[in-house]
Amino acid sequence: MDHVKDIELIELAARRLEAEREKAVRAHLQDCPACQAKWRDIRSTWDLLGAWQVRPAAALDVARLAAAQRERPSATVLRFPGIRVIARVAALIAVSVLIGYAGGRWSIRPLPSGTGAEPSYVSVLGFESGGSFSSLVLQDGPAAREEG
Amino acid sequence: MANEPPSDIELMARLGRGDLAALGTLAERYQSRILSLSYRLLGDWHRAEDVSQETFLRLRQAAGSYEPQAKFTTWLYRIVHNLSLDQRRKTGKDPVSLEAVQADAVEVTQASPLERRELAQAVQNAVGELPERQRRVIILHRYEGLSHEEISKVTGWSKSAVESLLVRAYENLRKKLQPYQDFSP
Repeated sequence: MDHVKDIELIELAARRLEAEREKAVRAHLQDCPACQAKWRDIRSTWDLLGAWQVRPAAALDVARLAAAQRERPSATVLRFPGIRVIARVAALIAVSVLIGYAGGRWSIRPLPSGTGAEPSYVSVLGFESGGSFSSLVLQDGPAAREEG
Repeated sequence: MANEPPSDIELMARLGRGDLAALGTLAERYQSRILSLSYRLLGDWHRAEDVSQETFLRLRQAAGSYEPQAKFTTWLYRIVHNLSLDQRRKTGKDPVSLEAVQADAVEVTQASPLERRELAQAVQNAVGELPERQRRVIILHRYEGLSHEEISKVTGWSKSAVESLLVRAYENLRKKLQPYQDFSP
């Protein structure tokens, strides 16, 4: 049998090894001076640690506890967000603005001149002179009225 | 079977229905262990009592929606562990210092010879001087009797990490307590 692992010796000291395994470990310890020495150290340390006991607690005052809970504000506590949260929100806003700006630029780009091509959403209406709609609208503005 | 004490899960269900007596029963059962654990983790009675009270407040808050997915005590220890961790974060990460050690925190169970009190103090100091993670696993293993799996669930560390920490912690304690090795507690 190989040497016993330290963690198993610790469990042996804690009396938490399974019975079958404990039997095997104890049998090994009989014949292995190296493991015996380790076992003595671990058991001794385990026993020494038992010297630190703490006093038992007083009984909990349930009525006081209930009162403490009633006094606790139930509203959501507002906390100042951390610098990382602020940086993320700022980055999100910047990206949104950029996307909006680029989208806006794209949507108002002029049609290629001289092609006579109509936008698809106009051509599906079946008009022959759909391309002139925008100029008609523009002509209906204040400047056009003044001219007229 | 009418005289059988109610299970923890049953008490949580009662508490969820607003039965404060169930909280009292849970407190009788676990308050001493909660206070001992938080005291050992924090090294200060006042903060340990705060953690203890906060733990029961959390129990009461969670009772309505409590669904037993793990052992009740593991869940309870996880609350205490995390609250103690929060306490330590609030007040700094210094290990339990000699100044923080209170003489009245050491209970000497038998006739109190000076050596016994000195040993108890030495053990408390030795545990307090361990690196943070080693200190936590030692307290949960040696004093709370938790298995490696339970410690893993309470701390969130892997089982192999817990075992490695335990081996190193016991070895460090052996060295620190070397002068007392011949002392029989």
